[in-house]
Amino acid sequence: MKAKKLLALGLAGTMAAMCFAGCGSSASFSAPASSAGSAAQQGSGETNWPERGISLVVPLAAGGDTDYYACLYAKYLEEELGQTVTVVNTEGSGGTVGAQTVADAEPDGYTILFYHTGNLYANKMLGVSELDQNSFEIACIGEVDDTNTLCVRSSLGIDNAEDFIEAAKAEPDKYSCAVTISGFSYYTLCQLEDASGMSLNPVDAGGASAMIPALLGDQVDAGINSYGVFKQYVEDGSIIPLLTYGEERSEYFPDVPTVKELGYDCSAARAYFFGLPKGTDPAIAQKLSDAVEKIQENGEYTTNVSETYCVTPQFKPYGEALSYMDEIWAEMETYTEIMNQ
Amino acid sequence: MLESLATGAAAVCNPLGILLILLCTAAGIIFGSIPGLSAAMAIALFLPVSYGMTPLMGMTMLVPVYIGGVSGGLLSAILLKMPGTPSSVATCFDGYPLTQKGQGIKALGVGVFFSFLGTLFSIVALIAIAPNLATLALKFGDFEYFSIAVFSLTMIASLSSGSMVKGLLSGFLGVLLTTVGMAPIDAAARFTFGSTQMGAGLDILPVLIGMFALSEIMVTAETSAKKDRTQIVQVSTRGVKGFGFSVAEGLGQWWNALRSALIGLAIGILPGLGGSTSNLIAYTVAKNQSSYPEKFGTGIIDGVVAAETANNASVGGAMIPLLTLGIPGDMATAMLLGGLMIHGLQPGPLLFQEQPVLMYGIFIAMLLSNLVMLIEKFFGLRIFVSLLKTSKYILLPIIFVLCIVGAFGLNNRVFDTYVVIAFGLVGYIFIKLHLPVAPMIMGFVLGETVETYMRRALMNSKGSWMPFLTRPISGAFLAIAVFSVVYIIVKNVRAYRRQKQNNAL
Repeated sequence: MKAKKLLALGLAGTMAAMCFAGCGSSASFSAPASSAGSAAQQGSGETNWPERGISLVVPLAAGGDTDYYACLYAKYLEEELGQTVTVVNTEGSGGTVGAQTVADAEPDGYTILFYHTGNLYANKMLGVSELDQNSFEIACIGEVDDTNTLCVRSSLGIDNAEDFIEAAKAEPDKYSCAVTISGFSYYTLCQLEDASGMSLNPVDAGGASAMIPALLGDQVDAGINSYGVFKQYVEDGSIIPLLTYGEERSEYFPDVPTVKELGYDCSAARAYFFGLPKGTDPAIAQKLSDAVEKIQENGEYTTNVSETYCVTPQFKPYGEALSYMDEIWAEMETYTEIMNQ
Repeated sequence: MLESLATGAAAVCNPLGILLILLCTAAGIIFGSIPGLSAAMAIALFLPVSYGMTPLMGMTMLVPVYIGGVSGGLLSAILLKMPGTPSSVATCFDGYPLTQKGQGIKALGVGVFFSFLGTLFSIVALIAIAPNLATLALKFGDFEYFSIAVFSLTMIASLSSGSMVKGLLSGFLGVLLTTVGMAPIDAAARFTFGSTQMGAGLDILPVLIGMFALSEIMVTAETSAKKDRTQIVQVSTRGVKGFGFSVAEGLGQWWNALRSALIGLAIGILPGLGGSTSNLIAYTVAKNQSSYPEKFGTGIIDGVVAAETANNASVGGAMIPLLTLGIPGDMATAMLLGGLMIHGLQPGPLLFQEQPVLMYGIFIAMLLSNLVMLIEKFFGLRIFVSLLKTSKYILLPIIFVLCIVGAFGLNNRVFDTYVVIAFGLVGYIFIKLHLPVAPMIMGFVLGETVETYMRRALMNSKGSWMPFLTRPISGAFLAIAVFSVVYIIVKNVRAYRRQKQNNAL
């Protein structure tokens, strides 16, 4: 009998240990936040932050580009800040749930949001959430992805933007274009349709992982997403990039013309930002911003980002980041009506 | 191919690689066996550790966690009637009755062995014909997904043992619950009552834990309060050799196993469906095809074989689009994708050419991990069974805590723990009203798929319903769905008439 009890206890202990070990790294149970509170009261200048582990909340699923950037940053922020930085994926409602969680969190600098303006603003335009750049203390912008690219499947037989737009104008709504209807890619499609006068049939594809098979399997004719998503299919010839939304041609795919070159006034940049709950000590935001800046100067990070997503690393420091986000919002906001049709 | 496999093997078979496979398979099994902790969660925990390793060693760590995690779910499903992961729901149906009959060891042995076969089958398919299968999977668009999901929903009828009305009620409730939250595509808020948390909808895991684990805990607590002693399930380990089943019994399942493996593989390849659907479908098909369908649910190994072969075959299935196209089918494979991307590796057609050692190394790691899983569970069988001898008042509170912690760990939000408790109550009411749970889970798993793909397909066809019928694959599945419904109605009417005649006599 005794042996059985011991066994039971042993099993229970192992299970509990596994469990706590698990939560330690996935959720980082917080220790009391007293020290952080006092740091916030000091107001400005010096801060002792961080004195314990930080949760970097990604409001989107693991495996996507936002998660990828966050994981890279977490890895290097640990070195810069000397504390563990844990990526916490809190999914739901296209990012609203995770973003709201951070907005409601203690403003102590230990819960940080890593998210991008594409979804944040699209959700606001669609009335899904009230959150915007003013709901957070924006520490800095760690990445700007302006590589949204319109692509077609190679079996369509069209290989340049002029021909495609002409064809789409001649037969409105004939060609289908995979986008995320309640997301950023639909907004970029609306922009181009508005500027060029062509009309495509928008088809919801959820995310990047559903867009690729739809294009490869001839289920749709075109699709819009970051260039990195299409990269290897462009290389093997099954997907053809027509135009990209960047201001200038990208150094990673210089053969793809920009919308501006083609004569359309469109732009589509989404900024990946570090957001802290409102009321966080500005000194913390400043320190975080400085740390991110240092990482950006680190060649390893840059190589990783450019190789995987073909994005040129960009950085906007504390203060400047907010006004940059204001600009993006001002531009996107004008399409609210079109998006809601 | 053999040469590539040999290079892959050479890259994996170093002391670190072997150690990782041994330990991580075990860790996966433990995570999988605990209701509330899933394979995906285990991978999430190990993921950051992999960043510091070489890509191949990282995968040699993550893949065993995945394989162990999916197969581990059978332990608690068979012994406690609580599926350890969403993939082993159907394993409960016959696994637990076997345990009640005192044949727990046999059920476990069968489950473990056919898990092994299912995984092996799918890995072989992955190595041999992955690119072809991936091309085939691309033929499935929105229309096809919709039709497959509709066909799968007709399976609810077969899962409604006893009363068809109760089964349908349960199934519709499952579908209804998927509408909570932001609607797919246009993000319209439904049944959210203005709450951001509700906006995210209900996740399968907390619902499942509540419906199965928590309700079971409540029922046990209730019965033990009534009686002096809890009804103790006796499992004799004496005289049981090997896996606890005879060679003849195993061979008798060959067709069931092959069919279930094919179902598991096929569903695994289609992104978005996966193990949580395949085990239910394989189980129902096995029941429908059987010459003794009435015995299903009473504790026969056929049910365990079908569920466990299928869910594990989905593992290799899910790896096919991941490795050949870079498309993850579920949470777990999305994490594996993340594990590769952090090293700057984008899985897809080019990776096979650029990184053959990595790709074939992953295959070898999968094969080894599968073997390790079999061995570890074989030697563990008797230990797992002794879990049952632990007093329930010790075991169940621990499971309860793990359920809550697991639900929280899923998305790091407290809301999910409330969902567990709420669905624990729902599950308890289901048991009291003798409503079958399986149809509800089926409806819940498929409801969103049906809605999303129908709406996407209609966008694609600009509102026309015809492509659902005219596209060959889609049309075929809809035809099978209609046939399956008609067949069930005819069967039920006949059974009703026969009963009436018998009564008249």
